[in-house]
Amino acid sequence: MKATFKLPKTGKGWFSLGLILVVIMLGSWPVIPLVNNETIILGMPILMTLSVVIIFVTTFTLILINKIGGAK
Amino acid sequence: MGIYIPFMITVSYMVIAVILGYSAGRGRKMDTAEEWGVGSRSMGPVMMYLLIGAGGVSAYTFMGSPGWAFSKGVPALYVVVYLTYMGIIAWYFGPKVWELGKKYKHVTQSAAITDRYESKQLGALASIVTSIGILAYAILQTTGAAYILNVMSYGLIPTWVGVFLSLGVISIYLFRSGLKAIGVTNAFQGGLMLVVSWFIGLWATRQFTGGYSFRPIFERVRTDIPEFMTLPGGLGDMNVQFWTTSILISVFSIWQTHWIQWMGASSKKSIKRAATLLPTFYLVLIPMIVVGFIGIFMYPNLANPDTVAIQMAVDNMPVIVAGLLGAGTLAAAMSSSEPCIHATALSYSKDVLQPLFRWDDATAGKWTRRLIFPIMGFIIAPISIMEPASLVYILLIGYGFIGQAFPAIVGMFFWPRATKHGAFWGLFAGFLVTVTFSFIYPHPLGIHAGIWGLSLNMAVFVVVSLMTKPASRGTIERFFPDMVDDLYEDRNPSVQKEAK
Repeated sequence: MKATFKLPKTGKGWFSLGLILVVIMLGSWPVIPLVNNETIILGMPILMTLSVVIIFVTTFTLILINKIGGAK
Repeated sequence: MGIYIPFMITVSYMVIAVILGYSAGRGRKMDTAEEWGVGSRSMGPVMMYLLIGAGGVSAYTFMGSPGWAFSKGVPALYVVVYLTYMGIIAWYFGPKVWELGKKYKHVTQSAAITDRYESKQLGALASIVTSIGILAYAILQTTGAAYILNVMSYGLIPTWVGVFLSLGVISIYLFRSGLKAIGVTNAFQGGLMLVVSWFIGLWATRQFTGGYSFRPIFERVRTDIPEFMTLPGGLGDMNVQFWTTSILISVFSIWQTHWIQWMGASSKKSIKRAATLLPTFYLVLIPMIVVGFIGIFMYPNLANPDTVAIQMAVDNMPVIVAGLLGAGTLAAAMSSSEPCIHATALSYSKDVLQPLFRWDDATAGKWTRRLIFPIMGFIIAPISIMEPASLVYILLIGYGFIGQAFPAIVGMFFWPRATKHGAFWGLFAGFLVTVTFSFIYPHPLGIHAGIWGLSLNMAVFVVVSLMTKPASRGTIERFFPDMVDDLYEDRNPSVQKEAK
């Protein structure tokens, strides 16, 4: 039996996986150090604003992937 | 008399929850695991949105998150981020889990593990060990519920009475209506939480600043205590690595409760729609975190940070608002503990006791909902009343372990070559490392212990799987129907067998 992993089979699938990884990076190590300062944006600390942005970006990303059928 | 109005509002919430939960199962026979356990898979997207959302938001929203903001500052936001990412997990895995469960009649995560790895022992082990974390979580929430009843009644209701009161209320509708009750009450609790959180947040902001903008609050924080605006926060214990790895381990932890909730959806589409919008539910945390920041200036000497929002409501807000906060916090605690009690009863019955005593489905179905009483009476109630200091440690171990089950789930959906030995030894190694790096050498290099455990777990899982015999072809065909042609050298074994 081969030890193959199940991977996306289409370009849309790989694109969707890439989008999800970008969304996750938005709230973690590569991006957080860049916004880890005392700036206030839209009346909130930048980390709080980013958290709200992540909520909406994640939702829109999932909507987009549903539309293009990238997670089958 | 007026001082008891918040308490009466809080108790009214409990009465409404009982009525809603009890009537949710009307006209249905609840003595089957399918009906009581997964509500005959009948919940639409709105119900699923509130069920999963409210189940994920615990008493932490109204106590822990303002408490963290009060004592640490922005590190409190990591919960917003990880809950949002857990929405991605529900969106991706939810429909797949639902389809698999519907097709092969799994109702729990452990049942799926048993089926995929052809090992009842592995399924039972997964059920028992993951239940440690789930029960510890239920105990924490019950303690929180009892605390709220105590505060709202001005000490009239002692902790032990509060524990029995909150568990008693849950038991009435949970026994009667199972997951249906959780769905209906969580919908009510979820709606209540959303309204109360924003109401309290904006009220406190107006009281502190004279307007509705958060800016004056954070300008003062920046001037007086700038370390609260950035990581590692006021206590200096949440650096970027710990933030990132805490988020990742939480995202990888697929709870038995989540699994069962996904099973309750009426269709794949229903869960996909609900999970797509799920991240928006977690906006509920933002105003309560702002309340915690306001508390820094209003209560500079507060002994217990977790009580900051309740204290502020009781001292400064109209009695109705304070009562709503009490009801909202109680709703958050109960909506998180009841799925844990339900999932543990269901999994113990189906994954441990049924194979152990060789019960048929009818016997297991009858026992399933009755198990909530010994679980509440002999485990949750006594430990909640004792309020042991080590409970947080039990919870930490539980979290660590739940995350360690992730490779076994990878083997269910992504890697056909995974074996039961790989899953078992990976899980065992990951658990040991997580325990060691939680308590003996805490979080080396600022990386969460669970991530260290998961890294070793994954390596052992892969190596041991490659060294041991895979599951039978029949099982692989059921779990990976679209990969079978590429996996085996002999493309048509039945023909070859006949030729021999």
